Amino acid sequence: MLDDLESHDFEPAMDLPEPEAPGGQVPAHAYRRLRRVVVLATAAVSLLPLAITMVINYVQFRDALQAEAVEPMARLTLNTKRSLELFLSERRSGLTFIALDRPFSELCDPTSLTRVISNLNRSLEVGTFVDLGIIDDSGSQLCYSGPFELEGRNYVDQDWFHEVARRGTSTSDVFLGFRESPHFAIATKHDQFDDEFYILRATIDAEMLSEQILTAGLRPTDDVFLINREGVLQSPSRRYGEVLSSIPLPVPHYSPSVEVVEFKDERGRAIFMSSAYIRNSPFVLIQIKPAEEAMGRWFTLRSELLGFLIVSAGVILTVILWGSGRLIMRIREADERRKALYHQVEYSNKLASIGRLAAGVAHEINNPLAIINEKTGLLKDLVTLSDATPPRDKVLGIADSVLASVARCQTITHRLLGFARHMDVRSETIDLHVLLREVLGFLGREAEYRNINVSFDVAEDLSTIESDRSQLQQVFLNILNNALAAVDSGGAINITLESGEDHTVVVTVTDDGKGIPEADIKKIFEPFFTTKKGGGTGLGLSITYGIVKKLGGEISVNSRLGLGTSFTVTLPEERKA
Amino acid sequence: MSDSESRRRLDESIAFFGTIIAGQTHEITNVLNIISELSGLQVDLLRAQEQDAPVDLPRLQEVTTRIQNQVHRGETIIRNINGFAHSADLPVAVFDLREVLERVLFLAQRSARLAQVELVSDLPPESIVLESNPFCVQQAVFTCIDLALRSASDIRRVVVDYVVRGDGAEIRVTSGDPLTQDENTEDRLELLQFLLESIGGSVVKRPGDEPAGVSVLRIPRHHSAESE
Amino acid sequence: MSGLRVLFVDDEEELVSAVVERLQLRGIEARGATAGADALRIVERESFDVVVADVKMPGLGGLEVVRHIKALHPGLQVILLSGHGSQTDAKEGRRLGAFDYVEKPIDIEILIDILRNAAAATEQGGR
Repeated sequence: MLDDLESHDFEPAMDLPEPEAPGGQVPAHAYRRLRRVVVLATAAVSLLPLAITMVINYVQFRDALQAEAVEPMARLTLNTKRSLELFLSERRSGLTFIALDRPFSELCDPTSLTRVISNLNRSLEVGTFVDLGIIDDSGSQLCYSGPFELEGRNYVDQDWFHEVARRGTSTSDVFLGFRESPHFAIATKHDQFDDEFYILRATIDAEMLSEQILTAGLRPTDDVFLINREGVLQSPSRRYGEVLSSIPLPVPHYSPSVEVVEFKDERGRAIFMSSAYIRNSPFVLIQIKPAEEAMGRWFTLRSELLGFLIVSAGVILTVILWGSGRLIMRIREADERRKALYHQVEYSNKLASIGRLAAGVAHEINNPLAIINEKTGLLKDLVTLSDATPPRDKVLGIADSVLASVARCQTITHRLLGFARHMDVRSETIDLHVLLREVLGFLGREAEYRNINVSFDVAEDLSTIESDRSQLQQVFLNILNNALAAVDSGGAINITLESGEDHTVVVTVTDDGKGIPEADIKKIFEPFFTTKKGGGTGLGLSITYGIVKKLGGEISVNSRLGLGTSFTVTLPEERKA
Repeated sequence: MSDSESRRRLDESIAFFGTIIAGQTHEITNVLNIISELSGLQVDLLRAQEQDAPVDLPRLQEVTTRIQNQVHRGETIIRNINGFAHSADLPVAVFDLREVLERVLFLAQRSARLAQVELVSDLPPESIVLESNPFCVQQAVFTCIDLALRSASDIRRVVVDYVVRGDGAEIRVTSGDPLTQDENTEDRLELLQFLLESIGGSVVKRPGDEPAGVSVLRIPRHHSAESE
Repeated sequence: MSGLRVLFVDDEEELVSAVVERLQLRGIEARGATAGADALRIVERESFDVVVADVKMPGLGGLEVVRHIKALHPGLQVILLSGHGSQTDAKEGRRLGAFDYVEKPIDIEILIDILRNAAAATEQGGR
């Protein structure tokens, strides 16, 4: 994640400390991004199937419930259609029986006809024939039994007459008949000799139709009625009024079976309409059921599904958000623990290796010390044993040996001291001229390639200073890098070293590059301030500033736009830590 | 713990290491210088022969003994350097606290001498074996002693002792005088805190808190470093 | 050379006694001290030709001794002794008025040479 951190300030060389990610902001950013990705991915993966399932369920349930709602309706319509057809068929059968059973002459007798109609009515439990007439093949009514005076009436120009002649039977629409109440008529044709025929026609109270279709099991909101093919009511409708008014709905197309459709009625409300054409009649059976009633269960289910979807989605999202938060936090903690562990290991390793080195070096001193001991022991023995002055050369020999061993020890302690000083990383004697040339070396051949002239002005009696080499390297690396970035090809950088007041050394790095605008100069050492396009970390100079201060020095900058910039670093000769 | 913090801690430990080694190396150099002089003195004593005077044999012997004493002193210093250096071998080791404290006291003698303060060991005879980070313990105790040494100049005596208490030991550094605060004191106290926490111990009493002049460090018997 | 009175100051007692003994064996009247403060007291009471002081001592170090002696007895020469050759110390010492700067380990013959030169300077400078 630290790859996001672009450092244009400098790439530290060798064992210099790495530029710090400012306050851990970048890692936090990266974790937030990671969390976003995790949340989106998990949400997509969990919610998508849920949504798909929901949609499928929705469609399936709707269809199922729709079918469930519709089926009884269709069945009812079918049953009603059948019973109606049966009803009509029975009436027709009755007429046919009469024609077959009774001689024509009998039928032409009014009294006999009246008796026939009365018997017919008695035999049929329901369906009172109001009247019965015999009509010959020219359309004249030969005989009539009924409430009207219709004998002699001619029907040749009536559609029904021609329909009966052609088809053998006809059922009429409902009309206003006896007592101005709705009736309809059934006519059957009966062949005689010589291609002659006669027609039996009977009128039936249309209320019989209503009675057939109004069965139990209908809800108050249901409506069942008959219409003709022109959409005129043949039986009363709850919604649409009395017989012979028109319904505002479109007449369904012919179909031999029961059809159920869903559409919006004249008021825009959703209804189911099942329709069945009654065979051998002009009637169409219609059943209307409001959708909400039929689909009541569906609507409830639908809200429940929706509710469920919302709640589940909500729960899923909550869990994802919470879970991913915890997960990312765990990852972060693990990362940090790993980092800490790494640091710990680095720490222990470094200490251990230093320890071993130190112990190794120190241990070497034991040998020469032992020699000294031995030699002096020898001297002691010489004196003790002989109780006389030991021979001169012997003593001198021993003394030389001792001094030689001491010298050996001293070289070792010298190493040990050098080692300890280097370990300290705080203080060593540094020649700044050498250090600065070293630092230029670190910057590679950029100056050469771009034809930038780097010159040194070193005071003659320049003192060495006691300071921290690696930190000074860092300071000057940063300053020189900035200088290189500021100058154009062919430009110049000058490095001046001279003694300053109060036991200090002053290093001035001057370039003839773009310069820094006055407004920016004040902010140049502030953390995160950068004028680099595409940004740098803005930390380089603030770190430099911090280091110089820690080393007990001062740093300042002078600049003129277009003319150049100079950085001045003043360092004490001796560390005052 | 951030990168820079951990680096800082490492630097501090390394600096501590370097300070101790450098100091002891100076002590060895002193020893070597004395041995040189004494050896020269031996030769000088022999010179008396040239003037036909009798050689002062007892004195010669005495000087020889003095040389041997210095050698012994040198060996002790090396032994302590060795022990100190090896204490950094492992982050967790089993060690005798008494032994380690004796070493710290030895190594701190130089600083005490330079500060003209008497550093006294009042360690109880009982040892206690700990499983912890010996380097850390040394660094912590040394920091306490160092803080005491940098204190008000009236301090003449610093005493170090410990008690076995509960599941561990409590090390006490007594100077009897309040801490002099300078710009580094806060840093030092933070370091102390950090060191103790990293081995699962605690600063029971901070140097500088009342009652003045006493610091107490608690070291648990078993290392339980929380990850930092 | 007889008559040469030298005060040798170093915090290592053994070193002081060894050097003092060696100087005495060479006919130099040498006295020792193990602290800067003691040295200054002794210098008040007795007269010396040269003072040799180690730079690094607890309490008053060599440089302080130089400063004090130069303030009170400007003619008395002080030689600084050091175990770690710091240029800064050398410069500072000279600036404060030390006669010379010698590094350990001490070569007794070289030391005696320097002592003689210093004593000569003291004589000229008056005591």
